[in-house]
Amino acid sequence: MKQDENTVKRGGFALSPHTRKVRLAETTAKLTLWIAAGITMGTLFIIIGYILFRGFVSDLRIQHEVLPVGSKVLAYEQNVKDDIVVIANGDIRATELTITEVTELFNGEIDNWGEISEQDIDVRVFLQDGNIREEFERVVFPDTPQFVETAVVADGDIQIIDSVANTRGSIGFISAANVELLSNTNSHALYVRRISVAVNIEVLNPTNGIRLRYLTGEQIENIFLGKYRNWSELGAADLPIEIAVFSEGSLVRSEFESVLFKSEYILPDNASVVANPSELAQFLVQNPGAIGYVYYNDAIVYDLSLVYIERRETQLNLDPAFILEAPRRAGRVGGISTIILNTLFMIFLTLLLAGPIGVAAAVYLTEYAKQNRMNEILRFGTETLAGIPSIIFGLFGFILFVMYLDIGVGLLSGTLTITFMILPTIIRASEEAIKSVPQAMRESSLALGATKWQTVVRVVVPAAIPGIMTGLILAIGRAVGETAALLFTMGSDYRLARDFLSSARVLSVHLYILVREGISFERAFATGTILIIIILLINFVTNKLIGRMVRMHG
Amino acid sequence: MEGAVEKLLFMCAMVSILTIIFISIFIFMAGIPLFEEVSIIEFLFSDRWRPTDNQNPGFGILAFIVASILVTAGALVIGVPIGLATAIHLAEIAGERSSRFLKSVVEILAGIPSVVYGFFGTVLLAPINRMIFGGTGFNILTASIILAIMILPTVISLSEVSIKSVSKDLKAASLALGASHWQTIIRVILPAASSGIITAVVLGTGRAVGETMAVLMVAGNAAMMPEAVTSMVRTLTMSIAGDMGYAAGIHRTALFATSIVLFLFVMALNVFIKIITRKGRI
Repeated sequence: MKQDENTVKRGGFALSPHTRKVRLAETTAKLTLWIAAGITMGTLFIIIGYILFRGFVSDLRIQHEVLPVGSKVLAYEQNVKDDIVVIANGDIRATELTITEVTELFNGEIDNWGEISEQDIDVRVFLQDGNIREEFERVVFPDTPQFVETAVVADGDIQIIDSVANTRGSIGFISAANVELLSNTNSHALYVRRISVAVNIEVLNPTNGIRLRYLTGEQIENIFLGKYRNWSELGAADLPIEIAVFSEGSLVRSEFESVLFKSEYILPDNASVVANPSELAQFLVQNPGAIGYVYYNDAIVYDLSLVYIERRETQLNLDPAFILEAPRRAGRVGGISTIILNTLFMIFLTLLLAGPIGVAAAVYLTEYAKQNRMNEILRFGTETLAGIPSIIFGLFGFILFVMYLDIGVGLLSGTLTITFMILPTIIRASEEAIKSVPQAMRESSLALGATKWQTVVRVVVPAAIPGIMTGLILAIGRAVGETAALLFTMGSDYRLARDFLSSARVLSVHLYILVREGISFERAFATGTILIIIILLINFVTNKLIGRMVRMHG
Repeated sequence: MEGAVEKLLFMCAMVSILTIIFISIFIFMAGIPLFEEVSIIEFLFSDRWRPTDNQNPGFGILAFIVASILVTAGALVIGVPIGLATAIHLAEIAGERSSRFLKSVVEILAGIPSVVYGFFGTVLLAPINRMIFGGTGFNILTASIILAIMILPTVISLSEVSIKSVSKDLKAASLALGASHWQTIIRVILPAASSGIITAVVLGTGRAVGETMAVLMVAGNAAMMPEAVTSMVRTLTMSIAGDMGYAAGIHRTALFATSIVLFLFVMALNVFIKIITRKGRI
């Protein structure tokens, strides 16, 4: 009834059922069209939004064998005078290390910061002798202490701080008492994460096909607060949780409590006290469902079963360093600067070749060609060339340049292949641009006595420049995004191309290799972001050019 | 002088057609030798692909052909309705502003590199697919969705142009006879624009069949006969791109022969378009 009233009000008379049906169909149909347009827009926003977001922000959940939080001060036994602080040169982006990383940095197994802070800087180690060295060795090395051969021995904290502050990539250790001296120097103290959580082996065994793969920091907190009483609450075996803690006043206990609990920690009733790591090891073996914390190096010594602990790491992914630094280790560390440069080389060379040929072809097709069969064949050629899959161009380039001409997989082969691919884009855009130059301009030029060629070069082509530019820029877009045609013609060397024949990796190939070889999704997102930004820029510039063209010719 | 210039320009205009001729000569020369060892029938109609088996090698690409057809068909089923509806919306309904915005959306979609589409499929679509259907998530369905997105710009922009180029008189006549806007679109405008729309769909098909990187990253790459939409498959292009890096000898020749099949298919589509547009003109 209500609807009827409305129609009466609107139209002033009642609509026939048939008209109403037609109107309903009309509305439904238009709504469907609107939804389809919405899907198209939504798809683009999701793709761009998702890749840009993950490109700029990396939000990783990484499982470690140590707690997510570390402590600045390293110590092992209660009765030592000096606690130790590990310090690094100020250029190093890392602010914290796991104890394993500290060990490997000092014994030389890690010789480059790439694995830790993604910086391509070699590690330099500074040591000092005396009590503090013995203490450091006990804290850092689970077995025989061994320092890297290139380590430099300095004398005392002040000299260490001075050396570390002035040597790129350096790391050293000082006593905690002198940590204030670090302010105003180019060095900083590092937090070290070294507490692990060990359990009875049965906790880690699969139950009903499900295995406890890791715990979060929060879950560990709640276990030690006594909030969980059975492992089944955490998706593991049906075993009562038995907590082991170290006796009051022990270093590991105070460190554990200070990093994990903000307020005062009260022991739950399912906790038992152990005096030292060997007692803990015994406790863990004897009680199914037992859990306890321990220094990672002690866990290694007593061969305890550790639980992985998940940590969420949110940070800036695409930073200036990523664009400016050269890649190393297949792109695992460093940035993509050489790859960006290779891409620019390729674009420049391609335009140098395809630009003149494409514009000349367009001039011929619009200004010279007669409307005959030959012209039709030429046009068909351009259209067909645009439709040939890029992988076929890749094979063609491979057969012609690599197999027959034998110029190898490299910049020149790749560039020549891409040139053929982008020709249609340039020809078509230039053709449109030249066609849109008003006939009157040609006629006035010819009337003034200019030859046809003079008219083309001095009048027609300059007037068509914005349209030709649009074609060139669209062609750049196509070249930047091309991958399949380049895989077997241009190669994948991520270093800067030294000459025309050297293999060179471009952005799109880099993205593909990062994903295919599982090197790093984070870096793939950052590379994808750069590609998308280039495409958006190209779109912006072409729209501006087309706008100008429309203004010029009405 | 003028004559020489004209000859030079003519040479440049010939580059496209010469490229096509050279491409066909080269891939035929590289691929044909396969048929000295394997019969064309076996090559096209056997699904046994064991190129590196020394004792009993198999060079049948039927599974790849079927995979290419299925993935492309899936892309068309998803992409054409959405693309066509968007094109109608653009040409007939959207206002000046929203149509300009929608057009730049389509342009950007067309500009996004295929490897970025493949990456997007890997990190977002495949995991969603895995959650719903289990398995790896890399299958026909994921590949079809990605390809559908990739052919949208082709379908939308060409359909829109052909819908817009339908004579205004036809539309006016239909509306004057009392037909509603929607009836006019369905009964008058779309039939009049049909040759352009078919061209758009055929070009979209060509793009989907020839697409390499995106499908290579999301279709699973299993050289087997597909059984369901959640099967991992390997298409013709994937077979070429995936193996070319290490293939040698007859294996490489077989890949060139595969590319002949792909090339002939794409050429056939182009000739088809040529015929359609010529008919449309008359």
